[in-house]
Amino acid sequence: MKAKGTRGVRVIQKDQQQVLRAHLYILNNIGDVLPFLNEHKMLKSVNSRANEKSLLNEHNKTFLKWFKEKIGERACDVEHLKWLARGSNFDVITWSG
Amino acid sequence: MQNSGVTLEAESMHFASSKDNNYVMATISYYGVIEEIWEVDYVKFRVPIFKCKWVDSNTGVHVDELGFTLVDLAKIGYKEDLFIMAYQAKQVFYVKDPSNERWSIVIQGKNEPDVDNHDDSIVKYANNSSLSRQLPPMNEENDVGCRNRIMTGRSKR
Repeated sequence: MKAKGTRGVRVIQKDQQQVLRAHLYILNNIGDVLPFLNEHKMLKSVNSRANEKSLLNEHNKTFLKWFKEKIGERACDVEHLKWLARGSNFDVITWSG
Repeated sequence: MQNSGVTLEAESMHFASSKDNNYVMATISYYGVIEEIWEVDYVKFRVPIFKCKWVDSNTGVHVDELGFTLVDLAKIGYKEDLFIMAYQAKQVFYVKDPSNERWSIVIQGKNEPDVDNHDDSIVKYANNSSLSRQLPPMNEENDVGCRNRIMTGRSKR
């Protein structure tokens, strides 16, 4: 992205893969989500002889769906977890300057 | 470009090889440049993140004998792992090394915004150090052998 000397806010539809990756990263960095991340990792490692690295890959691949279902079935009372679990909009607000 | 240098300290799993199960956790600094600023929309709130290009820590970062951290901004790594939370970023500046164009010197910026002074044209450098936190070894001969390079399997947790 070249600087054009203007500042602006734009709403851009981003590549879905990239938005999902950003979403996963955000979940990994919000404290309240940590117990869920740990629980899911535990579930994956039980009865598995896969090594640490492939477990991590598997965990990353399946966590979003699991988290959504988990929060849904529990009638979660933490408001922001509900919104996080539903996933983000694929339209992303971007800033350039 | 000038103002978009960032650094991030992250704890990562270090594997000696892909078959290694005995990883060690270590904290290292990553250096990068912000490419895009995103606000990810969760309907009720938004989360600001930066999409960055990161310098490969194995081939693109070294600390010279004077203690300066040098980065090669052409050595890009971690292409699977572009995002960081905006709050995790610390600003740094990159200054081309006059004696070797390939490398840029990392100048640590101010970490906390100065609440008394909102004029960002004034940057106080007095307390800033471009040196890495790690001091250069006093006794080179003894130290060299200790610096093992390890492969990183990175996860920013």
